Amino acid sequence: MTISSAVLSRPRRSIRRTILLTGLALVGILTIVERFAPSIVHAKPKHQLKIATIAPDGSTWMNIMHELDDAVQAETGGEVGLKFYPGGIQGDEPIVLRKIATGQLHGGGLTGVGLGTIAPELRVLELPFLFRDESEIAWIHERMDSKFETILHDAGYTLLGWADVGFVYLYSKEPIATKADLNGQKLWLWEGDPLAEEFLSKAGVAPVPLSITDVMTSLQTGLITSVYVSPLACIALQWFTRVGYTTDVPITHAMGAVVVTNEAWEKIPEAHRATVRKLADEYFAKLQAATTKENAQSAQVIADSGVKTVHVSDAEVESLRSIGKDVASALTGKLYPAELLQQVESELGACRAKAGTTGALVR
Amino acid sequence: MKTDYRNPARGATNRVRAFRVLGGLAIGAVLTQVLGCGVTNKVAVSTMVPLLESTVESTFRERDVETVREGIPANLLLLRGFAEEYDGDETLRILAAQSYFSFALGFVEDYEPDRAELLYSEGWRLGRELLERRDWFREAQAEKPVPSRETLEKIEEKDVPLLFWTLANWTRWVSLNLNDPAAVAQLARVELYLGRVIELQPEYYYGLPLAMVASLQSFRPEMLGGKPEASKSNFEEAFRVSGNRMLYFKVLYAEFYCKRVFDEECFVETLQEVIAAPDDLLPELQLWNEVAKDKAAYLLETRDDYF
Repeated sequence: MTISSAVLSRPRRSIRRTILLTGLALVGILTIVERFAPSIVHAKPKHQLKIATIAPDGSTWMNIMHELDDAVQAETGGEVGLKFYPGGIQGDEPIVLRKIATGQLHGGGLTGVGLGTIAPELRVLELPFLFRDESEIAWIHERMDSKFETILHDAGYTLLGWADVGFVYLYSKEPIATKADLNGQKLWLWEGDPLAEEFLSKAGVAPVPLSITDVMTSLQTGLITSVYVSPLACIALQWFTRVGYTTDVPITHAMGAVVVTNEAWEKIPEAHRATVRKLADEYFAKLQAATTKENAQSAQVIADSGVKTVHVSDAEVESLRSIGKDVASALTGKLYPAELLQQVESELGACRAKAGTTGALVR
Repeated sequence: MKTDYRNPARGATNRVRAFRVLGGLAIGAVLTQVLGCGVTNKVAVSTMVPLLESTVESTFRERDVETVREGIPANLLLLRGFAEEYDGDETLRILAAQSYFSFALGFVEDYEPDRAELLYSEGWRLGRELLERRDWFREAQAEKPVPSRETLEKIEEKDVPLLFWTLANWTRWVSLNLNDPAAVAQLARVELYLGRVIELQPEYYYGLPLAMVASLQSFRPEMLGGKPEASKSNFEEAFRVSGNRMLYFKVLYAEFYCKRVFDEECFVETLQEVIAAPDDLLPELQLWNEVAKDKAAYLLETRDDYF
């Protein structure tokens, strides 16, 4: 709930109406109007960043973004605010990006596919089987965010914060325990995603390209037999009702972020930008933690609903990892430069050396 | 006597009668507690139920929103008490679930969502407890991840009132718990039950099941399975069934459909139409229309939050 909707309350309107109905003198009415007017007509921040997202109002994502907006307004004396358009009411990601280009919106909460449209280099973070647990992702962000922020800035955008989707798993009608099982699938491909296309090609799977909106029906009709998605999204999309199995190894980690145009960002006075930056760091960290927790809860809910978890043996995991390496090589020079991939791999090597492991996949 | 919930207009409308009814309820409650034997219980329940039905009906005919806002909480407790005491009485359970839902939606949810969640939770429980005595419901609830078509087809038209008011509470409870994956997962189940209600009796309560399905279809983004076009069509069917007299459907249309398609003109014009509608459009559900007007004004005042 935003400040304005929290301040406004329906009883207040009823008080006004009751008083009007009882026919009080004009002076009395004016007193009432004057008393409530300042809170009813809530002042719009001088600098308001308009941001669209697919996350529905009432979701943890939106709740934390509303908290961020409240904090930003409070600490900038109401000068700066973040106005979120939830639930995809501004359209899907391609439409949101078009609206940003025409200035109707200032930014968006985007998934990897949307972020890849404006800065393809970032997709290096979504390579299959790249990350093996949350600590590795945190390690890379800590050491390489300034690099990613520069990439985004050069593309015309300022990063407000990472809002990752989380680890992505296979959900299928039949068990998938091996690479051979995967080959036999009619696997959904999010159409227009070059990274997923490369992965499925290297895995030897004939993908079925579909928009997200067609997936549910296609699972019902058998046009596709498996999908890849985070546990939380699997529940939100209700796909868990149409599958029987999930594999216990994530195929990738899906990123997400809230970005605004440099133009809109730089219109905010410098002192306020520092305040927004500080608060964004705090609230996006809270959001990342909440998303990790909700994905874990979702995985449990899906298991409780009868979807069985299929264990992938260590030998098969190695086989799948080799696909990840092939994909990383194939996309070098297409989505990201070799140096960026090398830096990510080098940092991950350092992370694993420090942890004293070669990296155990999240299960 | 079984209430025809599609035609709540029945009996006197004056408040003297309402007070008489409440007095009767109080005496009945005391008698039941003091005597408490089986025969007395039967007599008491046969006396109580029509009185409670009349009370709920006269409440829905009320024109003064404030009277109801202040008066309903005590009556909710009374209704709940009776529903729990006579736990096999279907009419009491329906009245209780309906009253909890209506009060939470009309008076509480917009400004005290946490409290509304508790009220919906109670309304849902009161309905569910009796549904659990029916074979098809137990069977459907045990089926995972969702009930099968075969089981859903066991639901009959006579099941609609209790199932619908239970679902009404359940749906709104889920919508207030979108930060809980376990709650969100229940939506698939709720939508299947609601789909069956619409197959059996779409015109129930002036078409409220249609308006509820339409709200859900617009509530979710298209990317997450929302269907704005189907939503619009279901809203239009609800308007038709209600003869365009149930103003709250228009409020839901503005709140869910017009917002979903990001059409500010649709939003504003629909809500202005609600505010300008005649006061005596639907005397038997006057309260709903008063609440609709109140909410329409609130949504217009806060429209900058959405557009």
